[in-house]
Amino acid sequence: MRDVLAARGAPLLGAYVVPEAGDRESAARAAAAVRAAGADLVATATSGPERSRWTSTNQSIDLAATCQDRAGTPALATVTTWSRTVMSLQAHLLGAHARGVTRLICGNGMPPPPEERAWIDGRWAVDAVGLIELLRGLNEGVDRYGLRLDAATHFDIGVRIRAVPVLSAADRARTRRKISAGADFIVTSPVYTPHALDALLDVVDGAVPVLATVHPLRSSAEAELLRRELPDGCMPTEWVERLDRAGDRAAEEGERIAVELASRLAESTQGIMLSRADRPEVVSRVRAVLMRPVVG
Amino acid sequence: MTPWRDEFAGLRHIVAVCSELSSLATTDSDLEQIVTVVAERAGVWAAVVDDSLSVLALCAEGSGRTTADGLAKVLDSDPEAVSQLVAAAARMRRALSLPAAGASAVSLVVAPILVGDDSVAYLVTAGHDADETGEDARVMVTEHAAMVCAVVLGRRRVVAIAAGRARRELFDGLMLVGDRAEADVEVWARHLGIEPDQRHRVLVAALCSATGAPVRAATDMVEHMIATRCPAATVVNRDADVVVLVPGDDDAGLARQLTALARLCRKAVTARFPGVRLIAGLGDPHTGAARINTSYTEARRAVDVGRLMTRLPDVTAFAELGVHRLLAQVHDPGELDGFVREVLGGVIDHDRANGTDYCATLTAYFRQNGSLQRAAALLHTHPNTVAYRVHRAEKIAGFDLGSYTDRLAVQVALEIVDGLGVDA
Repeated sequence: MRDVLAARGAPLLGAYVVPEAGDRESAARAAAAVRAAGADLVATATSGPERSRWTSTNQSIDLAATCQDRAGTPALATVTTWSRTVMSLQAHLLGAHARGVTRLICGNGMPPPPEERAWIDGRWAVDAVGLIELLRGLNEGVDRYGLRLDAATHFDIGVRIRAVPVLSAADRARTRRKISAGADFIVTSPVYTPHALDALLDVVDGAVPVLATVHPLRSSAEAELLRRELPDGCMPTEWVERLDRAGDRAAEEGERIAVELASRLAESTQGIMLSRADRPEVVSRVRAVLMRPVVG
Repeated sequence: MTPWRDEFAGLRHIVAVCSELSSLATTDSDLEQIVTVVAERAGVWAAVVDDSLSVLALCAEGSGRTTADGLAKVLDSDPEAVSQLVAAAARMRRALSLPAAGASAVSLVVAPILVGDDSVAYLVTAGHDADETGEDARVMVTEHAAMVCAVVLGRRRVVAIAAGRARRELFDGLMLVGDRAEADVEVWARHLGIEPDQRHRVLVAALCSATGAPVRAATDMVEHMIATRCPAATVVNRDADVVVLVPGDDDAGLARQLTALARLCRKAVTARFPGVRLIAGLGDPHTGAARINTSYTEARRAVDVGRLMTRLPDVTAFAELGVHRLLAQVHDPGELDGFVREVLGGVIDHDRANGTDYCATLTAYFRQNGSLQRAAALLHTHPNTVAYRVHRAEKIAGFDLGSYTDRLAVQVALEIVDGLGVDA
């Protein structure tokens, strides 16, 4: 990330590549398409950024390696800790490093829904903070037991953090812990209004770059569902009404909203992550509205 | 069975596998047994491979899990990624995993087998992990099995080192000590499996780097190459050089065989260790254990001459050294340069300035015992041309080849130029 930021300058533009069942070919195609459309990087996951399935870490790393190798696109791999021991996490991370996947987004992950798994026990051997500490240790040349490695890694450690208008004291403390544990940058949960980002930016206080995730809404029903499920103030009523008025053209209206939002969020962040890479034209339109200062 | 009972049973299974692997470490097991336990108990493909992904150990035939074809398919699916993983495992000295591509593909776990400071091999497992518990279990079993492999290999290495040390001390006794009673020497030879009354030759392959740094890896490679290609030989690695004692009554045949072998080693060293030079010296044939010391001394002398006379053949035979045996006693190359300059300086300068070949003509003339015809044939020219050039060389340098002392001095100077590549 630091290298991409240094080379490209803020604001960066990225997009999540989320193929079905870890489909390498479609991931590589999507990465190449968004790169051509103006994206600086892609982030890989096996489902949307809203939810990480239990298989996400392994496949996300593989997809990130594929995007880098075949499409030549810098890639961030999503790594989650749900139902993984530190032992296997370390093996996966060192394997990722060996394949050149060094930019990561750490998260806790979520258990799969009940219909996808016989039982849910919500096991976390470590959380995102533990994962960041593990990565920082590897970067400093020590393994999970504090034993010296012959060669240090050079991971760029990103962390996924929820952006909501009101953060509790515990939320603020947890964000600070992630940063002090060694996070190099932050990728937010989907943001639907700049107001939702203010509290997080206050806590971060410029300590690390922040990339805001923008999710193009597809229908008024989706917007309404999110308005009900997310904390107050996350989903402006204005978006719901605009999508409703758009009727059959709600998806296009959702993309217009995403472009407007990206333009405004870019003023206070170091970049935008689009939640979907399946519409390269949206990437182009967002790229067009993101001002990038001339470097040098 | 309830899910937690399933999981408990799974954990007990892992404990049992690890326990079985630990028990292999306490017995005289081999890598194949370890790999077989991993493959059968963990239900995965498993193998021990080296840096180049060559398979060193597969699970036993008939186990029903792993075949060479099956594993090759796994390793060949993405060889570049697997090679990256193996290289990183060696560098990091930890287990690494290569994620599955897609839900149905196999994932790989690679654990380095560490003996001392070296990653001597890698245990690779490949399989479909049913869930995250299986994934954890495989990383753990692979790591543990690699450790057991390391214990087994480490034990072998200790035994080999001890045996090698004893062997080297006996060999040193034979090679280096010349004033022992013949009966003692014969006993030592028998301990090394050498027939005391056999005819033999000694080859010394010395390795040196331009920087003077240790060349242990190169020496090890040469030792391995010779030992595998010449099974009748007694081969001892003495850190900076490899000493080879080869029995055989066919003197000329043995010389050809050892010369070819030394050239092969030299080529391999040059290719793999740029900057490292192999100098080979071949002793004369001798009969009897008491003469091993003589043959070694001759081979060693040949190496010393080869080290100094860089333009001599790449394998220096003691029998063919001639006057170089004496010239090599002059340890200051400046002395030799000075002598050449004094005798042939004018001719060398003339050759350089005019593109003539008077030095080469003189060499051919002397090598053909003063025959103008044979020298001309060697140089593909007319005898009159040779006569003219020899005469010109005499005039230019001011020597008289009719004089015994001048002729001797010129011949010695030419030998120095030939061996040392004097840049006078």
